[in-house]
Amino acid sequence: MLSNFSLYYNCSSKIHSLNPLCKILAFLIFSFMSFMCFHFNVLVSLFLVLVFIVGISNIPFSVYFKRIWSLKYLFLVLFLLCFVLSRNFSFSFFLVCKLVLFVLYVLGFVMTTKIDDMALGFSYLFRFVDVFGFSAYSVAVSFSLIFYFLPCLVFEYKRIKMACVSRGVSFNGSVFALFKLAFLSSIKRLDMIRCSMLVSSSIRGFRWHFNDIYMIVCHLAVLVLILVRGVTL
Amino acid sequence: MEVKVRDVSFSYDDKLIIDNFSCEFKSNKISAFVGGNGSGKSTLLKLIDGLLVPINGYVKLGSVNFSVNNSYPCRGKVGFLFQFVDRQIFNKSVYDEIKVGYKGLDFDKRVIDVINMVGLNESFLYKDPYKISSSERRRLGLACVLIHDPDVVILDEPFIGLDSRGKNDFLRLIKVLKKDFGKTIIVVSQDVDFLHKFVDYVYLIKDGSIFLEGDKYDVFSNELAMKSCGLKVPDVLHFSNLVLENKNVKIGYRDEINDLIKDVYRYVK
Repeated sequence: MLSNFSLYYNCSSKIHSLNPLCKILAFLIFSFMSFMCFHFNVLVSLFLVLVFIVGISNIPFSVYFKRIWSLKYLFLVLFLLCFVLSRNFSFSFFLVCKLVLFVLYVLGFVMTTKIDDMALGFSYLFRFVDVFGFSAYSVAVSFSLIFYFLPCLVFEYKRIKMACVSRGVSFNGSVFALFKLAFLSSIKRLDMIRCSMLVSSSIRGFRWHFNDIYMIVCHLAVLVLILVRGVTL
Repeated sequence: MEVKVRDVSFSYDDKLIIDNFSCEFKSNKISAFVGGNGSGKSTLLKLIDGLLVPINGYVKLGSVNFSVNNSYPCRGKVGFLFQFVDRQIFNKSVYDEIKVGYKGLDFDKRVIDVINMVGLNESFLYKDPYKISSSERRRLGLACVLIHDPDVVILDEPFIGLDSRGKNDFLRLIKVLKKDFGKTIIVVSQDVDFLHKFVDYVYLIKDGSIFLEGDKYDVFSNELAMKSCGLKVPDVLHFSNLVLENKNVKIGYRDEINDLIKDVYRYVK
């Protein structure tokens, strides 16, 4: 399941039809909110925002659940690490809950945004790099592909492992060698996607619609609420 | 090496794909699974190779229960060439690709032997596997399998994407593997016209279980069974049936169309 963790989920919804720049801004606001979250009531606010996003994304919750379940060991390790270091159960639990909410939001973002739309959104965000002589679109494509690196790595790892097993080769005890091959192969694969995106890039503009503004305003309202009430509580 | 599949079942997402399947593959024989799309042929191959673990039943390689002791002792005794061979290739050069996992000391000699055996030559060794033709890539895939000298060779749709010359070359190679090296060969293909030229025993698969099994003459000549599995009767057989119906002449079963033409010519004369 981790290999299709951040794959686009094809369906029609209000979230799917949002302006990619709006989604990126909303994502940045949510990230900031997660960063500012130190209290339980703020966590509840984030949870409500997330329920709203998941609800109108038209993607079954089971899809979110299956994809987040693939990270269960990561969450467990982080919880244990945090618990060992802080000796505080509620703090560790709170931190992991925060991370789960953040990952769910990332999922909502990547599952409703095609990679080329994401690159387009990032290219608008990074327009300032043009001043320094870089191509904003090229930087944006590389930035978008970051979301696909982990699934790509897992996919390549599984593929190479299966290829070796099918030939009668066992990689028992040499997981590192397998991981190295998968790492190189996934970089190659992503580079191919990057090249094809750069070749076929057709920079198109997009307009702001009511839903885009509504989404940003909702996020900002929750952020203001958190800043005014949540943090000080 | 004999392969025994006993009461194997496999399900995916609560859907039963293979239902209580049993079969046996004799050494030095070529066996084939034929069936329509989605009948479970490729899943069966993966179960035999140990890429999938059955929910019940077992696969025995010789005297070793492969399904229980899946990992090491039997690994290397089975080689599997995928239908989409690109999924098996991941290195930068043909040489590196063949080298994967080989632990023998005579590596260079062995690589050259294997690469010549599959119909490639030394000039391919430092080429990028993704920049050679699909037919050459399929040969490379087979070389990667054969370097480990498996007792059982599994081929999933080996003729897809090959032209008639490529198919004939591949067929010759399969026959060499059987005759000269005594390999147990298991093939999945829907190309019954080509398959009937070299297989010994056929399993006709429908909905994850055996619909009909037997000698290739028995299975391929059963027009009703073949049609109910969404397959056509081999052209050679269809033609001999037509001759029998229309001219009341029984010319029998021939593997090659040329032999059939000779027979017809003999009768006409």
